[in-house]
Amino acid sequence: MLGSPGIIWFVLWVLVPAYTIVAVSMGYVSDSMLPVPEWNPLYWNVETLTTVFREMRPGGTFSRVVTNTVIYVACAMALCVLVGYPVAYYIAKQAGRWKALLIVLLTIPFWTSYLMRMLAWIGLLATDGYVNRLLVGVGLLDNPYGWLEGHGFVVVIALAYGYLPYFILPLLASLDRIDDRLIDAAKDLGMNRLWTFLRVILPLSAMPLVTASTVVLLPMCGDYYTTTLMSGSPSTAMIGNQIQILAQGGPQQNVGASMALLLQITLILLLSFYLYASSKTNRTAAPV
Amino acid sequence: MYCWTGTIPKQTFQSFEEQYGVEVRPTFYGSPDEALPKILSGAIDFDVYECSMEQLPIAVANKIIQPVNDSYLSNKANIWGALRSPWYDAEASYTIPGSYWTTGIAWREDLLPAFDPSSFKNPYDAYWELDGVAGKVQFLDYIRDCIGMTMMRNGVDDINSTNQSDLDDAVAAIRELVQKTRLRLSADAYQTLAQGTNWIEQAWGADVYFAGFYLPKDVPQTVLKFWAPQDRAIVTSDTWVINRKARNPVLAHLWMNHLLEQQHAEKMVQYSGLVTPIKGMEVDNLIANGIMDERLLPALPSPHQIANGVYHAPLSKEGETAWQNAWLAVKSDA
Repeated sequence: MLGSPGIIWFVLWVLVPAYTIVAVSMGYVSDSMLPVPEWNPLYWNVETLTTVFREMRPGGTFSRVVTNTVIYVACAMALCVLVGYPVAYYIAKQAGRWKALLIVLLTIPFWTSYLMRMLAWIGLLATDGYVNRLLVGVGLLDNPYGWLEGHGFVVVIALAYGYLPYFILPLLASLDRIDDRLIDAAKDLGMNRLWTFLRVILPLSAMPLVTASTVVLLPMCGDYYTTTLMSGSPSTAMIGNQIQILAQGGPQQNVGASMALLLQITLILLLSFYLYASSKTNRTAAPV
Repeated sequence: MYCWTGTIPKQTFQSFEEQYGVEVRPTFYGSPDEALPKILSGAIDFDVYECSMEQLPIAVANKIIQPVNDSYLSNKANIWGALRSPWYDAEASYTIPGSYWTTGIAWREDLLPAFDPSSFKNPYDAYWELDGVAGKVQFLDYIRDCIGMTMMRNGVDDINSTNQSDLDDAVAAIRELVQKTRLRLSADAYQTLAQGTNWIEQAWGADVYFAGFYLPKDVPQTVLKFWAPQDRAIVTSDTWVINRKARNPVLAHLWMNHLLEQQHAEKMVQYSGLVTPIKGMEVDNLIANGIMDERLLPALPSPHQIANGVYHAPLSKEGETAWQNAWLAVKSDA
């Protein structure tokens, strides 16, 4: 009974939309350019889906955006780990009485929408923006640099910046639960700081890192507005950009739905791996 | 009311509300591509819709809109003669004209002082021929404008061609430009030109008007330049149409009639840089009467450009598919 609101929510806003994507993918588009979903699995036509899958492989029409997406997301995730892990660990284990304040500061980005934060970056990185003024002012650059002129690394930095708060908060919550006595025990047994980190803290951080990575991986893979705003160049397009073009309207909305479906399947597989690894860890850690 | 964002000034809504004692509830769309699926699926319950001309046959075929009743449109006589029975709607039985604009080349004269489009045999070649503009070039992020103009650059007469080789050549040309200049695709031409992020852009004439508001204070507005040919300019227009199931069909007609009054058309051009083709709104008049600044002369579509322009026409489903595939190839640089 208590779970019914959650179940209703899940059915209405997760299952029904997901099934609609499947039905549109397996259906066709009318001459009026309206998608005609095929709701009955017995009549599903998988041709569009298989064609899109073929085109996503190397050499296919969508291979470039798949490659871009994988590279950008991987690099942005690495940046999130490099920047987010020390921050989360410090707040969880070292901040002491400043912990509450730092957590509040961490939530500040949530007060502004993701889109607004990206738009603010445009002002910062514009040719006459503050970043160029600073770099030219201190003599690091002779002329303003064209940050917004279609560079993949700017997209990566923007993705990492945009999703970092979503990475740090779950990581922080998980790291906070690491038993301090284990760290003390390692020190008592003669491990120095480095070995304590490598042999105790890092292994215990593995699942929290996977959890936090999963939280940001899912939206990053479907992101399209970060590259649109920070680059705008076709050479930095991601899968989300192609889905947006196709799904917005026109004669190939079933192709857009097929791309979205394949992306969903990939992410579900990754999520399944996470759930499997998570349950395995819990079983290992469970008292005998 | 379902209309483009940024085309109708607030005063126009207010004056209509005051005149007829009604409340106007506008819903705005960001592009016709976004609006059409909502119109077709019935997701938007509208009385009157600002419909792009290439969507018109689709709206008629799907019985979305109804013919207009001229008895409510007393200002129809104000419409420029050639557009009282336009090519897209014989006898204007379903529409009144909305706003007109041209697509052309916009540039910053202070950043490209030696640039003159007319010095090129085909001015659209400029994007490909200019040196030293890597990272400073942008095309409109609209399928028909971007590919259509590239077709004209490639020497294709019909900007609505669905010939696969024409589309392939256009894609190849745009890819070449991406390689050479890291071409950006965006709809914010007015902003990026003003900021100096881009030096040369494919833009709408209205973008040059808007860019004036975004320029740094120490840069004069005269550095914003625009070129579109007098003959065979790419001209785009919106029309106003009425929902077949409109709950307020008479008011919808009165709104259309309202827009055909010169005072409202003047407010609209000052607000959006878009020209309503009615008497008194000829470019020379707008400048002579101080409605618009003289620097905007090339950016405002003249009656001659409208009469002799090339237009985005409706495509068949197969044609739409071919264009969308070309657009996907452009957008993914694949």
